[in-house]
Amino acid sequence: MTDPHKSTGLANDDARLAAFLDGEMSETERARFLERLQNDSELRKRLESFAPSGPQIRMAFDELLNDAPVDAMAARLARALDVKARRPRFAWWTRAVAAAAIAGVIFASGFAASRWVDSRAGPETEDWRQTVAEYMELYSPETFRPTLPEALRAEASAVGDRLGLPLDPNRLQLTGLKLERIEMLQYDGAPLGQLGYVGETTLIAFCILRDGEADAPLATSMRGNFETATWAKLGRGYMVIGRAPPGKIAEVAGDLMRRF
Amino acid sequence: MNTSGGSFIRLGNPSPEINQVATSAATQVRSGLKAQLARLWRYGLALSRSRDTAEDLVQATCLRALERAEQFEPGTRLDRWLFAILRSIWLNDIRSRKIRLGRGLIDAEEALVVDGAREIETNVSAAEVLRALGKLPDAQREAVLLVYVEGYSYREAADLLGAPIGTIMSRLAAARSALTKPTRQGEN
Repeated sequence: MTDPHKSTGLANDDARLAAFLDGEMSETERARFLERLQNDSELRKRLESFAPSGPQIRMAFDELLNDAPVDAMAARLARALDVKARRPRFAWWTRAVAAAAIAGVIFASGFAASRWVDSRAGPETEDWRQTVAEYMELYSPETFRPTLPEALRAEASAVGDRLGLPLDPNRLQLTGLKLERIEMLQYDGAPLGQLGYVGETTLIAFCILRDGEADAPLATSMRGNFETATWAKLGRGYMVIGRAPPGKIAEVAGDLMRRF
Repeated sequence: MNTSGGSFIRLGNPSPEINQVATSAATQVRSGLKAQLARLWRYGLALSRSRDTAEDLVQATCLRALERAEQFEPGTRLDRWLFAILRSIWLNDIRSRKIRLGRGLIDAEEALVVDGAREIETNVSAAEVLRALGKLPDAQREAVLLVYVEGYSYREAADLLGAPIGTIMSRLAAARSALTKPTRQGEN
């Protein structure tokens, strides 16, 4: 092993003491350091005061393990595993599917449902919305990183075809928000389009699922940490979800509902 | 280790060998996750100093690990792979989001202490050390957890953190020094 602390030019005694105590010195370095220790009482004193901190830190952090909410985390994991067991062929879809639209490759989308249903109406139609909400936790503005205008137009057209809805840019424009990304996903075999909008303090996804669900009026609710607005019309379920100032989601949804 | 960016999975006809490796990797990830939850949470807590955020981080890590299970290399350490995923989510998603939305990252400087009710039963010096650790700069606290608690070598910690070994050494030395001070003052 080389002497990393040497090669970095770090001659700090505290750093050397730490490396010595942590077994991170080469044999040569260690021998040299031991020799110095024999002749340097100040260094020996410092070593004695330094030595307990390693075990103390380990012990303190081990105390924290007792506080870990293991049961709650295991329950959430079990739900995720259950979904994966039923739907084995997933891809991490956040960015992959957008590329699929361009490449013309069919992808398996990574939509995991917390409750599996083959629904066409009723409360089960909430499942895809819940799933979107769970994935929304992982989104950042980078998730909806800007797509080139021509690619965006191509995606709008491809996704519109699958959803049976013309998605022209005028229909999708929202005041104060920029449409950055359009993705073709699928949920339980049904095509799901996701449009990503980014504003100064806002991150909104507008989702359309062509699943034959029954018409439903506009309704707002909280899913996880997100405000959502949902409705269904002509065999398609809609949802607007995101991080936005209070009232913004409902406002955007009302605006979109008039067009869809 | 590939933990950044999206993966592109084409549906096609992969070779049986590739399928086998992917299946084995996925099985190891699925069966190994539960045993890692508490330690992942502790790492999330050391990074965020918030218990709720730590729990969310673990859940996001599990979801991402399941989605990318085929990228795990069987025979390598699952815990290290998961730690890298958790760190990436913290840096790229949650931490940056909180900063962007103007929410404070830290609720209290002592957020690392054990739960109030249990503190009485907890070893006094452990509680003191936790308080001191809670006051350390984030980078020092993270290095300390990885090396002294999780057993990372300096090289492994440097690789995960994307920092030179010398930086890891300085952080550890500074943390040890900070923890040493109260004792020394007490002696005076």
